[in-house]
Amino acid sequence: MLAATASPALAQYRMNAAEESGSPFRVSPPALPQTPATAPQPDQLHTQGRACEGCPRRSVGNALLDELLINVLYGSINLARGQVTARITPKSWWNNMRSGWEWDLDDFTVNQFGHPYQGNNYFNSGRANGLSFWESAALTAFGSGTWEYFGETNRASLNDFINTTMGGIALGETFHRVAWLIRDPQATGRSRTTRELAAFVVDPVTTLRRVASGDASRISERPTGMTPSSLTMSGATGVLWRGSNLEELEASTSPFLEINILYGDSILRTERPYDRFEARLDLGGGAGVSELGLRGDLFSSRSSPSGLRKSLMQGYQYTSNSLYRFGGQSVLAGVSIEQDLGSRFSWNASGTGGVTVLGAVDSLPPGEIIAPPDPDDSSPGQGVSTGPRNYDYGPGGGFGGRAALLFDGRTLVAVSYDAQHLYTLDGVLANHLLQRARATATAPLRGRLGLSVTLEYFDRQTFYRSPADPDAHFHFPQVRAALTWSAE
Amino acid sequence: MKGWRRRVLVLAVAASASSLASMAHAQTTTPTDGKHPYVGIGSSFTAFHAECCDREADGEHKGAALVLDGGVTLQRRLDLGARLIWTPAKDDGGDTLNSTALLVVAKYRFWPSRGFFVSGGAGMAWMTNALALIDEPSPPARAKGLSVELAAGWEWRLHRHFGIQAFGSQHVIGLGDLPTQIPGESLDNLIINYWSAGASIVIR
Repeated sequence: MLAATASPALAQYRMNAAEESGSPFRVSPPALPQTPATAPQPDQLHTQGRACEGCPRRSVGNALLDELLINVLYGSINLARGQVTARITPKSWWNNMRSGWEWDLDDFTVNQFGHPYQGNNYFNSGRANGLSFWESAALTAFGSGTWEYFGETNRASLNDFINTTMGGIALGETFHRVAWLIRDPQATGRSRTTRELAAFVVDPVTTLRRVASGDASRISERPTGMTPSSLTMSGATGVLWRGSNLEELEASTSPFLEINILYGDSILRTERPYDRFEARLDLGGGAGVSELGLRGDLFSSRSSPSGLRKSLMQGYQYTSNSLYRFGGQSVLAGVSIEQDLGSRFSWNASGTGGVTVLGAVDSLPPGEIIAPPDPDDSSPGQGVSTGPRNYDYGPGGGFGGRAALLFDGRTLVAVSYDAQHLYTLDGVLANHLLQRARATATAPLRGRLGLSVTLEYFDRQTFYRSPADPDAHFHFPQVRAALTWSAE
Repeated sequence: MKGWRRRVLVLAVAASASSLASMAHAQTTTPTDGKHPYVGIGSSFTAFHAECCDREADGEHKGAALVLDGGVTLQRRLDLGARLIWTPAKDDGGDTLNSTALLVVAKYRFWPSRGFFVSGGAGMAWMTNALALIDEPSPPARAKGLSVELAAGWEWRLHRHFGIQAFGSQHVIGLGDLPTQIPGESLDNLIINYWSAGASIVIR
């Protein structure tokens, strides 16, 4: 369950609370432009090529150069690792252009997280050089296309192109904004250095460009749009018990850490893409990274007097649990509502539905109960996966909803449901339906701490397109007990 | 190639030649500012090639394709819209090999005062008799799949609301695994790659 949203009254409360608390996640008031007497005038900014006083100098040429350097860097790393696919020549470029696209056989994590991460670097080569979100999105597609054709000797992969481009945009803008939460361009000395270095971990491309341009040491405002109208972070750590209805899958208990970020207010109209986004990261709980989910507003209406808001969102999902692995790039339409219930209580609810442009889910061959694991690479370091690839690719759709009851801006009870359908194009001929429901109750303790119990239910159905194969249906429950904290 | 297809191709070439002639004028023309809709119609010469599993079709098929565009210019550098690519073709045996791709496409101009653009898109595609491409006997059937396109080209603005563009593109249709006539058997991972060069008229 992603973090809850705020009503107008609650938003004001949050802002006041953040101001008073001195929270490390405190944000600056959004509508108070700080214009020092020495601030450059618009004419000067134009001369400098900056859209705002704290914005980077705009340069399409430098963005393309950075993108080229990123491709060279990735290629050099592959070459240093001895991968044959890195030995590119003009002949391999021509062959790739002549041969066209194919589905590749790389493992799930490489394709569903590795490629989006690479795309995030392309995206931020645009953002670091003053390009807008949409321009950087185009640059991501360009970087992805050039890498697929010219960065490796093996053929261009259409699943990589989609994952790198769409996933790169989602991760890129999220990382870019999170890095700007860390940076303080008005700080000096050790504090400034520490923050710039910390931001490097999240968004290395922007940080390196800032160092190269001198912006890393320049005193300025934050770039326009990089200060969220509100910010809520919450976390939970504890133990997770997973049940099973399968003999092949034993019940287990494992530790986990969950982090949620709600960036931006749900009241205001989205001026720029990702002015509001939700992010969730789960570590542990049966996998190293068991969940990474992002949803960012591309367009949205302002909240109506009744609290209703409509939005068009981009989604990125990476899920790995004992029953299935799922990764996908989606575009979603959503409606949400939030209202006050007295002075301290409020509630919110939202519903989404949309298209999964390309999703991946574990293959479940007919008669199998557990999806086969990724094969060991018989030629490690060669850079060419020979398969088999034990997950299916295809487009699909999804829908879901969530609702929460809040007290002083903190979630007391939350419920959610998500369903994901995937039509296999490449893999085992089937339709997959993945569902999960979740309910969380949190008891506030001292300060920002709380105790929570979460009940989850995962369900997987696979409908084979061959009538001779019976459908597969598996499910399991999951319970989490955790210590929670939240910051605004 | 049928006569009408040849005519379409000739028209496409003529449009390209005409647009080259207007290059000097158009390169200094800046696209209209602000959000506004656009539509485009054009044609391309297309070669395509199919492969799957351990099979590869012999040679390439060639034909003319119809390209329709519609969308919104979001800013001076960026268009966002839909593209329909219809590629009718027949193989030597007379089997119809028509394909239709419907894509969401973004077009980006790195330099708004120049005509150069790149575009990329993704969407759905449908193909008739796809198995005939790899000589697998099958009854006539339509298969659907995923399509991705990358393109680059140059647009010459002849008038504030009117332009001509020449482009080269590569698009792919991934049809996935298709069942054959033999029960329980499928041909895995059928992919059809298209290479196109063409021209279109754009009205903004």
